[in-house]
Amino acid sequence: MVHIWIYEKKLQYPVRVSRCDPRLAKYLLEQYGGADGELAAALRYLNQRYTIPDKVIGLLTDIGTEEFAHLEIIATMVYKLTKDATPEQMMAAGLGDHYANHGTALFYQNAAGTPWTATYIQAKGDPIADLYEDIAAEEKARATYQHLIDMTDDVDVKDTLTFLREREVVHAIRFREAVELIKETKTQKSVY
Amino acid sequence: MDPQWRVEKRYHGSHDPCPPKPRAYIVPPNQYVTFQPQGIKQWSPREAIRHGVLWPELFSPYAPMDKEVRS
Repeated sequence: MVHIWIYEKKLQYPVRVSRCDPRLAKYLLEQYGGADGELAAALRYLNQRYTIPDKVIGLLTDIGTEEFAHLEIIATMVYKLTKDATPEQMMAAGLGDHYANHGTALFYQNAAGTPWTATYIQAKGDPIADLYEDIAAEEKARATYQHLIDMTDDVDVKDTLTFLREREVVHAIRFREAVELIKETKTQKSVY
Repeated sequence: MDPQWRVEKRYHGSHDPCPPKPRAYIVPPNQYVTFQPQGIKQWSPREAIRHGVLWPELFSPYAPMDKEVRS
């Protein structure tokens, strides 16, 4: 297998943040380095590709790559919300322990400050098990985006988060189609 | 501002939510001392305690970045 990624120097969906609210950055980190975040999603799917049936490898490549695009979107929002914060503002936003370790740099950790770990993801080598984990991951990410949308009244942030929530829904549907594809027998006719 | 500070004017978008803060980091003089020199000038004990270092050549202001850069 030969894989080539082509990088376009623009975000998949625009990011605008209209309120100076560093505390929101702390919550957004859940989707950056959390168990159901974009990093976990991208690494989970791209790694599962090698042992998944041929007909769904392309799907995992496409969705795994898109998760990296989402990771950049979250990173941009976090950066905009923290790049101009003073240590006092970071502390007031509950990011004092983050500032002690990382300053205003981004880091792969969840909203509570727990660093990302590979134990968040799995590759079981069983296509049904792997794809059901992927479906669950998408639904959990969708729920997380819903929680984040519920926690802010910044309409511009809500707009971007709504786009990301929708993509999780689409991915879950695609993964469920993939399950149907690998369930098919040679004699069965595809209904798609 | 002490010339040891490197200040970078960062891009600040017209819609960035927070008031801009320049990015700055300090490059203290010890970064240019490859081998430890002998017999360099020393401050008096009282002066050394006040500056936090015995050797004037190695003095760095140690001030918080925000106050230093904004002043």
